Amino acid sequence: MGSHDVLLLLDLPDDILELILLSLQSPLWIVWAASTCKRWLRIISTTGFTRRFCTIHRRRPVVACTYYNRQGLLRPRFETSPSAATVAARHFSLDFVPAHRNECGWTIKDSRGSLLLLYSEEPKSWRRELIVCEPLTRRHVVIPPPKPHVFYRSAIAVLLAADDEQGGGIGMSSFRVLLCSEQDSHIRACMFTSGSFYWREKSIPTPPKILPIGFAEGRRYWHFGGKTTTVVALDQSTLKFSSFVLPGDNKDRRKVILTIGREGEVRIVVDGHGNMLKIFARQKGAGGEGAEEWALEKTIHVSAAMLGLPPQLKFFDLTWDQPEDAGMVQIRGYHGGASKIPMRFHLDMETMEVKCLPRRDVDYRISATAYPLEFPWPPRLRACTYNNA
Amino acid sequence: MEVDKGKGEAEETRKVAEADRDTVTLKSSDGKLFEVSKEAAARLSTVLAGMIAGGSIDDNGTDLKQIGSEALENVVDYCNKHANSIPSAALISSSISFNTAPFKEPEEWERKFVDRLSHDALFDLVEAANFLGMERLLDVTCHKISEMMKGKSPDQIREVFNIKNDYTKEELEEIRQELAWAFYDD
Repeated sequence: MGSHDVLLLLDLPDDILELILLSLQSPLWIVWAASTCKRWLRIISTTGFTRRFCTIHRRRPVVACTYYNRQGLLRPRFETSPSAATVAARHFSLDFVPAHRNECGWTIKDSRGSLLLLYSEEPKSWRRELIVCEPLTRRHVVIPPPKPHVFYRSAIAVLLAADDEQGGGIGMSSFRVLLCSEQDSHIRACMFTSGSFYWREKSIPTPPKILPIGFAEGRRYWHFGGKTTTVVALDQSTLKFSSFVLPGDNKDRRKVILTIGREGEVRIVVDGHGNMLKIFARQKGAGGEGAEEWALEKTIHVSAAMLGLPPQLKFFDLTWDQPEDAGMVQIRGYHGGASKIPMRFHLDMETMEVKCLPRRDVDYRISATAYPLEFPWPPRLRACTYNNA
Repeated sequence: MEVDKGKGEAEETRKVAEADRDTVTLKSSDGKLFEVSKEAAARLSTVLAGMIAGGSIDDNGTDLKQIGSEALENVVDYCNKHANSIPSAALISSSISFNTAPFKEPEEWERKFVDRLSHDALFDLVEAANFLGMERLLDVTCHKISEMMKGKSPDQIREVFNIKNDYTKEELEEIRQELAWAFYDD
């Protein structure tokens, strides 16, 4: 130790250099660091490093660019983020995706990591295509259609990492595509894994009028029913369906949504008449193997919880978009009179405290879904690494 | 005799007092002495915790021959500041993310603490933190060094850290081709 004439970063042992490099948030900066000298490239190229960075990166992903679908046959448009200020816009362009002679456009269905899932569908000719692409490396792969056909437009389509459970990254050689469609009184789930040629399929019979609730904690939920409410859940990783009935009479339900409790566990919230919210929680260890049981955890009278708040609102309902803050549900309240603009609130399911949210100046007519894209991780760093092995 | 007895008693009480002391004395490679809160030292440094538990702390100053006085002063300063700092509100309220996060962002005072260091002092502190098994201080100092790299081009990083480019032209070209998106066009 003692005083240095120059910064002797390279005097530090590998494990400390690794800590420094792990703190670099963006894969772009890691690539720049790797191209300064071979030692850093070697550290960055190890499986341990790419895995550890992946875990950190997942919690705080760096969005490089955001894509939006456009009407008609136009290709999706994109906006680059400040984190990609040095990256030329042409690297995000989708001009490498093959165009069709009959001018059928591509629509984005999902994005995850550095990948986009695109489909092109022409109902008349039965021609439909599904591709996964990585704009920054200008690569794409065509996903063969499942048999029988699935209408991509109406299906739920999700991009997943190939080994989601192990926390690995997603890339052109490690992804999965999940398609969920409702067909012939069934929910059909098809899973395609990169590198394979066929779809794995599971389905569960359901009545025709089934409604999707949403996605939480790795599972997708639907509900149906008359007097009672039946919920169907699909585990996205194992493609395993389960179904259960929510206890009690839920005949007057208006909306069924998912939210996350304080401890990060899923809650199903049923919104009924009289501004009543019923909150259901999964019973741990109940029902034995394969079965699951849900119980009514709490009933909240929304109007009672709202009493102390200044604006006298008369009608409440749950919003479709629920907050990511654990333990909260989002509610909209309306005046009975002329004002049609709803106010939004967060209601704490445990303490029943209500917080009014600032009014959003969002034009609801433009509801273009944003598809964020991240830098590829791990980057392809084959160059030179074999010389150092 | 009486004098001797008195001396013995004094010795005895001094020893007891030192065993109960709530600070430990550390000695740098150049012989300077520093006092640090025993509780903070044990909590923040696995090495010091082991020495305290094992009774190998020297009352006249535990020798840390590998650490210079400037770095040790910073270590001690960090420990004392840490002992006095109040955990931020965010830390208390979001206990879930705290338990699962692999690395917690430096707190405001930790940022200020490393920001005032010269580059030399920062690098010495990294090595001292590593030697003493001070995980948190190591995270904070490494985070600071990474801040110095963020957004810098390979050439700029080489300049800041005095790194020799050991790639051949062909190798660099290969990297640039494989990762065309990451590099400027010109």
